[in-house]
Amino acid sequence: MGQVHTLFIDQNIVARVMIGSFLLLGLGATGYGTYALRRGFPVSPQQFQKDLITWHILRPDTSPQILDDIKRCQNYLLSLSIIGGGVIIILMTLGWFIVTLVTPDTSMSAINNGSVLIVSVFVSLGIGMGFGAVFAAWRLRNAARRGVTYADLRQRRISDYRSNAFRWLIAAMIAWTFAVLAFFAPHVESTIPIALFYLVIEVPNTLWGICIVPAAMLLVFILIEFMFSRIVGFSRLLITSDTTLSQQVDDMLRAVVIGTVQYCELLALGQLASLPFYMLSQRLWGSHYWKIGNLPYEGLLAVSLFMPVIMQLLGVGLLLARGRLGGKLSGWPWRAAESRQPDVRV
Amino acid sequence: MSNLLVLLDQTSPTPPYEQIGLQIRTLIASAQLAPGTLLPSVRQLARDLGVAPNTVVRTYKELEYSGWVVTSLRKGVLVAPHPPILTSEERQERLAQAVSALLVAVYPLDVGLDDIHTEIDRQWRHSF
Repeated sequence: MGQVHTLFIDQNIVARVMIGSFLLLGLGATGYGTYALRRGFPVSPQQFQKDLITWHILRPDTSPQILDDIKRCQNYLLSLSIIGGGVIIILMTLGWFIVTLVTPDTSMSAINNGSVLIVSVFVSLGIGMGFGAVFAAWRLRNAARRGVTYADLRQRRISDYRSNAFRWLIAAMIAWTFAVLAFFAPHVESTIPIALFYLVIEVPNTLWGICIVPAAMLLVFILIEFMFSRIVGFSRLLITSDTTLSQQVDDMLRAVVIGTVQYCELLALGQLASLPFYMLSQRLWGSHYWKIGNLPYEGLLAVSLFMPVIMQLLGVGLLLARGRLGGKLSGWPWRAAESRQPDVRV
Repeated sequence: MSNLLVLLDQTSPTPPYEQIGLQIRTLIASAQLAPGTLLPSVRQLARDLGVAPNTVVRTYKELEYSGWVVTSLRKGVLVAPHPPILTSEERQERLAQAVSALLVAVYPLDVGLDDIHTEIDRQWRHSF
């Protein structure tokens, strides 16, 4: 008889490997941002020109010097934004690492569902990129403060850069998650497990218990909306000596940063919306509500399970839109961007 | 989408609140800012122009005092529904002040009265 070997993997090691991979992601983002800060982004001149045409920035009389100014400003802002995202991811993963050190018991089932870890990565990335962009804009503004400054004579709003449809989409996701939890909750035991990556917490199967995940989604939404308000409210940048052109470039940069942060938010919310599947499916089998060959309403939980994939697909679309998320100024990618009236200088 | 801008020359001897106020008045007078148009918040305008919020508050207060804008508690600062109503004496006095300021400004340019008239005619036609 051959000897039976039991393969045992320490759960802490599994968790730390997962955390380490995200640490590498943070280091990679920071490194890439630093590289782009020094050498510039590897964007083809055709793509750069296309972006400028889309935003009505490129005109027949635009000089190469102005194009250089725009490119330099864009590089600076976007690279600091990426560095910001990377740094916050590094800090967040270090925080998780400390949690693994101080938490003795680990549940493998909790580690298997890394949704909360992924959510924390996407939220950190979004907030870090937003703060990085605001920091870069602050540095640029201070550098150009002596001289002429300009301001819009209208109130800037988030809806200038992003359609309000995204708010409705997020509200629908939160409502869907709550509805799924509320629908299945009567058919499971008195407690529901919530896997917090490293720990599984049993929460009572009550109204407040099933509100935890939707509340977490709401919290992410509020955090990111706050970040958007900071980006939109930040002062106008004087990128070239032409204030109208500066305003248009400023709008383009704001829209691109908002689009990227929106991407992170949707991915984070998609992960959170998948939690009901992990919370309920095992318990539905355990309570015999689900039996072999008889899985009532399994489609509802299946939608939750695929929510991250759906959001990932939508997110790729957002990245390809390059900041044109249906805002009043930015427009949708399939429509011509809003053309401004000529500037009036008094 | 309207693209009206206010410019502020930080090196100008004219105080910022006067520069901002003059530009807003001119835009209203030339009908580029329509009655009822919502103006930006104090915070946004101050941030964009790099001035203290009190500077913008002062500008808005003076514009409101002279009837160019109205403040709504719910909405914010709006362009007044009609230009400031002045008595004929007030109007005459302000016109005299404006022309005096113009004459002082053009004195170093060494231009004649005809040139001034031509420029006024051109700007009048452009604005109204």
